Amino acid sequence: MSIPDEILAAYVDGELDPAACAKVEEAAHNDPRTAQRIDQYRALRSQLQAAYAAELEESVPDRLFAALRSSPPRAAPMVADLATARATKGRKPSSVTAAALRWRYSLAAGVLIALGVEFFAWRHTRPWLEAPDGTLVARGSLANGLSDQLSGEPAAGPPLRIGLSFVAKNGNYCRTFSLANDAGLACRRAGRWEILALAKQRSTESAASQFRTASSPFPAEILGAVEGQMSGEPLDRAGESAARDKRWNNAPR
Amino acid sequence: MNTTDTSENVREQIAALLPRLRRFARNLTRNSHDADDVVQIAIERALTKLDQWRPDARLDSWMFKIVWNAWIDELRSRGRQSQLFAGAEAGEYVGESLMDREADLLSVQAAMATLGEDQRAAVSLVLIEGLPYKEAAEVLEIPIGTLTSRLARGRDALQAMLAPPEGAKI
Repeated sequence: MSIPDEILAAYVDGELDPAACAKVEEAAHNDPRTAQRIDQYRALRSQLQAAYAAELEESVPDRLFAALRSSPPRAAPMVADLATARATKGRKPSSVTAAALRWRYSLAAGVLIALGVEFFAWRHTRPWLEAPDGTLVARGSLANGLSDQLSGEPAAGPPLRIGLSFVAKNGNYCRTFSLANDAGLACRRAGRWEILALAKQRSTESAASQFRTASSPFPAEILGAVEGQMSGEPLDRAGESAARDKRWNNAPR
Repeated sequence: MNTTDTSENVREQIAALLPRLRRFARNLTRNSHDADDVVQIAIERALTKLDQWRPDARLDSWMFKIVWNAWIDELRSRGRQSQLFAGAEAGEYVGESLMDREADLLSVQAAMATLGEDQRAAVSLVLIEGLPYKEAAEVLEIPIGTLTSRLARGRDALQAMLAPPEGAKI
């Protein structure tokens, strides 16, 4: 049984549902040629991303920030409010943005450094992660699991466990997870799951259920990240279901 | 949350997207000055219709779509045909050694430049900007099937031009 190229490409692009992912992964496991074709698609993707990564670090011309600061003609009242907001903050939008961007791009590298893996090595061992624009995000079975699985539910496919779900201080939904030997914290932003922290698990057994107990095997890096992000209490089952139903878009505030 | 807060918030988010918008525009225009012009037009258009953006939609897709439309308008006003640049100087880069990083980067960009507008846009959105198929199809206002076939042709062309790393050839 040979899987068509467009399916393999869709797999690499993170477009397949869990069942189809599992089928492709099984085929790749049994057939070296299928595995090789997947590697080629993945290599092209990495090659393109590597070739265009540097462009993101170039400084943006002031005229673009200026265009963004100028007000549209039919929304004149905004000018006063923008000026006030800026004066209160006492900083220019462009410098804010630059700082935010630096933070974003150091994040993907930082998350991986915590794991103790080289920046590019993770691609081969963790097909459920990708960094399309310098931000580490979940893909494939991890992305599907984070979107569909409730806490403590055993996974149908990969050994993914969801620890707890909560609302972050910025209103985004976040969930902790453990998968294979990794434990992590993922937060929903702009329709995808960004990985805010990732670390090696001390023990693979029952990581999720013992979360936040004194003898928690959940790595300290993840616990620290959760403490830093969480506002209020973790979601209960009803809260999780409701959040899942609206596809984890921003929590009501 | 009132409208003003939302608008300020969206502007900040657009500011954070500028590097990606410029990169996408540069892939479309293959010229950094044109790219910044296109992004500037897109920003101006976006500001006049901020109220049309729904917070549950992806802001990057929405902005990419405005950039894409600004570029299409520019092409039309210049009277260009969409496939005009395809195929020009692809030959000289084929089979180039990828041993050093500089050569690799040059080749990837040269290879991209040989694709037609439509394929290059699809490849940029999905493989470089990381958009899901559905989002990329909405940006380009085409059915998903059309997107995936443009993507497949673009990918095949790139693979043929770019030597696979470590000689991994079937």
